[in-house]
Amino acid sequence: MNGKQKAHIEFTLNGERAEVAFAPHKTLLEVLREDLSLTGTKHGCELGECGTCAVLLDGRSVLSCLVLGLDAEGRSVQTVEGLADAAGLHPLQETFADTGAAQCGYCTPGFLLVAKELLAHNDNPSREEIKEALSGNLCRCTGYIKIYEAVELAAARMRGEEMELPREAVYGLE
Amino acid sequence: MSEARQQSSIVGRPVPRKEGRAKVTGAARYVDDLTLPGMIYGATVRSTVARGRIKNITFGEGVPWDELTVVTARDIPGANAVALILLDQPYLASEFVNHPEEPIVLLAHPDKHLVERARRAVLVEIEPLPPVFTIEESAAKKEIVWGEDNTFKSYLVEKGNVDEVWSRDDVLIVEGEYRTGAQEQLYIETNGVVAVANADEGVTVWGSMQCPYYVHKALIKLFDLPEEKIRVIQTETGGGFGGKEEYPSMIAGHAALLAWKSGQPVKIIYDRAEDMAATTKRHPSLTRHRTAVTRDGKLAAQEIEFTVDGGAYATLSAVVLSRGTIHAAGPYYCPNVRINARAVATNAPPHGAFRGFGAPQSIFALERQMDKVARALDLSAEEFRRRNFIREGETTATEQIIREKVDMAGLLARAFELSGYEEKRGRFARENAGRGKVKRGIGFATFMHGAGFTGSGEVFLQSIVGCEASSDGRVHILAASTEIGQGTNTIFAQIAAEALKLDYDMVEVSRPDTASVPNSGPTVASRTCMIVGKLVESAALGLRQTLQGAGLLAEVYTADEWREACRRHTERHGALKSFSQYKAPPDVVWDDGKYRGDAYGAFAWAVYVAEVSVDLVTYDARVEDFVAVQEVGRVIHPVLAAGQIEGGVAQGVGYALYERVAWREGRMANSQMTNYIMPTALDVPPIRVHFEETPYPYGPAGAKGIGELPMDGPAPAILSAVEQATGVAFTHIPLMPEDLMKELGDARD
Amino acid sequence: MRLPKFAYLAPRTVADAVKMMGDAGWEGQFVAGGTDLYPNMKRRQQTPKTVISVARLAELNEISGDGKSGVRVGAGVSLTDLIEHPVIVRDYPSVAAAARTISTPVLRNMGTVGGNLLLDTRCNYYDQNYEWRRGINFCLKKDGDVCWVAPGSQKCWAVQSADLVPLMVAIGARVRLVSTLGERVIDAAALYRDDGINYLHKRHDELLADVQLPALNGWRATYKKLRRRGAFDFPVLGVAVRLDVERGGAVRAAKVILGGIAPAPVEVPDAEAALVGGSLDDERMRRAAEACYVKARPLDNTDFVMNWRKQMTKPYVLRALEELR
Repeated sequence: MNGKQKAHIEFTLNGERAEVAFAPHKTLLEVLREDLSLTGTKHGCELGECGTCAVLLDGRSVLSCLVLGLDAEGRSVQTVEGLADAAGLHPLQETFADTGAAQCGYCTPGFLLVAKELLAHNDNPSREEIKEALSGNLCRCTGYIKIYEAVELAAARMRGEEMELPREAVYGLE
Repeated sequence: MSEARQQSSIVGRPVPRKEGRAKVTGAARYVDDLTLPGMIYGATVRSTVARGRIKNITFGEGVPWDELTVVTARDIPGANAVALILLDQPYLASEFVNHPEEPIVLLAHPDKHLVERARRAVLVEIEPLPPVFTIEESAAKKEIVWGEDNTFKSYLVEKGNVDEVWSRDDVLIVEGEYRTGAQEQLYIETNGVVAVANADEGVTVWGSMQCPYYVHKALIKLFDLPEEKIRVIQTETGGGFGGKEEYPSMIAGHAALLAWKSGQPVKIIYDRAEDMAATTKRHPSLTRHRTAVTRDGKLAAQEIEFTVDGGAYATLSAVVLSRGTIHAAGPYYCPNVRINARAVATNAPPHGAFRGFGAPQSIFALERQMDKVARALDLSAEEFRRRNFIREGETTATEQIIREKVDMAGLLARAFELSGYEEKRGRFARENAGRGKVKRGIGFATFMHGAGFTGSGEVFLQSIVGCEASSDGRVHILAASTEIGQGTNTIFAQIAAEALKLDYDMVEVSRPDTASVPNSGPTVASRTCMIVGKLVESAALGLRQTLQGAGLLAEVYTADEWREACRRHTERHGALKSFSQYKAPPDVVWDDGKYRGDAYGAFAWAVYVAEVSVDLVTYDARVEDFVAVQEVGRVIHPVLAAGQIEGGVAQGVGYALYERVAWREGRMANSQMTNYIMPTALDVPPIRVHFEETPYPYGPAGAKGIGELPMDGPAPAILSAVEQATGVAFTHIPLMPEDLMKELGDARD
Repeated sequence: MRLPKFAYLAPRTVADAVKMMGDAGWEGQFVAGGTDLYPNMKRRQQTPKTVISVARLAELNEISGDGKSGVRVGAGVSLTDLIEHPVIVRDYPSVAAAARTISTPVLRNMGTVGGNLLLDTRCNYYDQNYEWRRGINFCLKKDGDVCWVAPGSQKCWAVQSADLVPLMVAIGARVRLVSTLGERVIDAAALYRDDGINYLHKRHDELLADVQLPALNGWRATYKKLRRRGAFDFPVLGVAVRLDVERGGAVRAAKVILGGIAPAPVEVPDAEAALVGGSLDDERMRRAAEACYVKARPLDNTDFVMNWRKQMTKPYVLRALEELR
């Protein structure tokens, strides 16, 4: 009755080998949050309708609310907790924090991971490409605009360009 | 190392968001990220019918009921009523239910899976009573579903005498009727709380919320405990928009009741469907306008009948109605105004706070009416407005004399310039005459939004803010104002740092916790920056005065000197704290009986321009460009301020064109993010923001309120643009493709 | 929202998978991407006792062949991989374009070709959580005995809502079904039946193994989707058209399939007849669109009012034909 019979998997979690045991009908979202105490991955609907719980599975974005924990066996999972490294925050984290892309912050982890996937394939995406790539992630606070700006700024920095936001993005129309 | 004294101003600069790092690393702790030892999980059994009498509750088979904590109305230790304005809404229905999704039974168990199964196994048998679902049915008293006459609250605003105007032969009279639909706040984090409750320690609640002291007040009544036995702590909050203003009192009470009975910590997190269907939404409204104008285009009389659907219980309807009423006549001068406003009851789940709080509804109606009157006068919409904009020294509908500098015509000119309004208006008119199937339009809305509580509200609130300096010189702001994404932490720190001429990093904002912060009032009504921010500024200055009064700090000081002064003061006297309490600015007078006087300390003023395309083949209306020009006093943080505008406009676009609540017998039928349609990244237009800055003397560093303003303008601006594109003056939102088809279908060739 | 409890099996081969399904019987269910099944399970619309995952079967994850010979797409290929596959992009742009209209980028990373072809039919009264459905005393498709869309109807009117389906039917794709009894290959058109509950002519124990795209021999196709937002939304109308055009420009054969309006994709023979026999001129297009409009009878059980969806048939057919002209 109480999930007595546990499943056990080994996988790579944020670059490190991990093992975890959990009730077999649990989603990856539930395993991450409840059995691994990685609460950085959020949930907005648990039905695949908002993008909030996105994580990277073998480098590709998936909704952890619709992936079984069992399906992570032998694979690589990256969550928001694994974005920063010893050298510091990921450029996307820097720009999301600093340019107003994170307001309430609740959708932010999902956006960060999907944006990271985008930049892995396209180091200089156009505004339209960014919109398309992020169209499966809902944000109610920002109207998305500061999110695009954060992705563009991070992409530029990752290309090694010295870039700040244009004045209009910071101070509005003058 | 010592910072340069009189460093460059902190206010007005895009400093990093205080909790930004925590939010991008996953370190920020939202309520569902909290786990307490022995914690169990709660669920709510709700009514599936709109109105009826509870006959029987059956606990079905296959569930180990002895393992569950079960709470019904009988288990409530204090009053079974959510303390807000009235005490009409029960925590748990005991005999009658008055709306779908009304809570009846609470369950809790350590296994989340089992508690969901148990909820499905509870059957509540309800004998239906005839319900009321529309404003018209309620007003006609088809059934009396609340009080004596289905009316939660009514207001009458009378300025001059409209009745004398109707019969004048020098005026033109124009009438109109306008409707707005319900709207779901749709914060991405659903409502949730964790509660610990027992007779010894009292009740402690952690939760996603805007107003810790609302919850505090409600729990005192629910448990009949002294206030020091109730503690409410805000966790990081994933959006609110009003949706976490009053509802957390309900869910917090539920979790606390389960905790009280079980003796264990209880967590309740709503799933999305429950959150959408059961919690509050924006009030639907119906507004009738009768306007008299002189032949030279001056407003002579406005009679406005403004009605909102409050749902089944009073909740905040009286206050929502109040803001809607006061904004109903807009930023125009008119010598004769009558506003009849009413909040009526239906058997829908109670409607409640949502960004704008009644104003988006009445402003939508007014702005559409202003366009209609202009057309009747054969004036352009802008020229008609220019002739009627309120000016310094003139009075609003409530006879508030505008004492601040206001230049609506200037804002209009700026918005037109930035949007290319005149050129586009002309070009679209020419192009639309052609054969193309995609028509374009550009339109605008001019409006104002009052900051702070209405009327005497701020005086009653008596808000208090504290500042504490620790021995290392760090300054901690103690306020109940919550960070819900809008930037409270950041702007408070900026305001205090600016006031004390200290580095931004030396100021921190303490977590709102009723055990450690004073009641600075709710985080609503665009009051956090202007009202509470001003208290932050004066409490911070209080610290400096204390240090200077004690002779520990010179008039001009370095950061090191500040630290040294704090160290010496705390050594000698202990904690260094300063508190500041709200005082109304001079000459603010409000008469609640006559609904007359200074409704708000200050207004933000704005002109929004929307550009749309309407596909006459598919009836798809899209916003292509948006320019938002506003005067909100001094801008404390340009990026956060623009973020408020952009996010509000995006919600406004949804309100105007996408977001329709589908009702089935009073029950929300599209309580999912796939079919309650909020705009995605592909549906929001470019939003270009411009601030005119006119410092407001009674706001912190000259700032006014901003949060709700951007919700007011988009819908009327968009419908005005649709009017140019289609030639049809639509009068309701949301304006869906099927509505466009209905009006334009015959025009198709 | 928690998934119900179930036994989870992850076979290594197709042979194992179908054997497991044979053993599981009616209580078994295949899953690939999970984007359709798991939400339905969370809402208790589907409650299989055994879930057999075919997502990682290498046999189902291949795309082979080219436009000359036809292409075989494994049912387990993700929609993202389909959209990005160079042969699909080059030879079957209409397939890539139709797949790109499905849901969102993240869901396309998860969802598979097979999953889309077998997507459960959808309805406003069915795609609700358990408590909501109980409030209306359930419906014909699950746990109840009334169809709320058409009370009195013995038939379930839940709607075919997958974007690839009309296109696959239109282009004459074939699907390979495998079970312990062997395998068979049938036309995609023969896979669907006009019943919202039993919406497939596929035995429960059969596994959809792949879809076979026909060789290119002069035909062209397109798909147009009606929805409100740029992402997420299911189609509330889908129009797929395939045309075989002779060198001189005359239309030799046509297929016109409507999706999102009925339990199965709807073929419109009158529209096809109108298109065949001459060049694709305005009059033929108009007659085809008119025939589709007459044939389209959506019911009030998806988002948006049915009249708008019906009215949109004409312009959407015209847009599809315009693109192929």
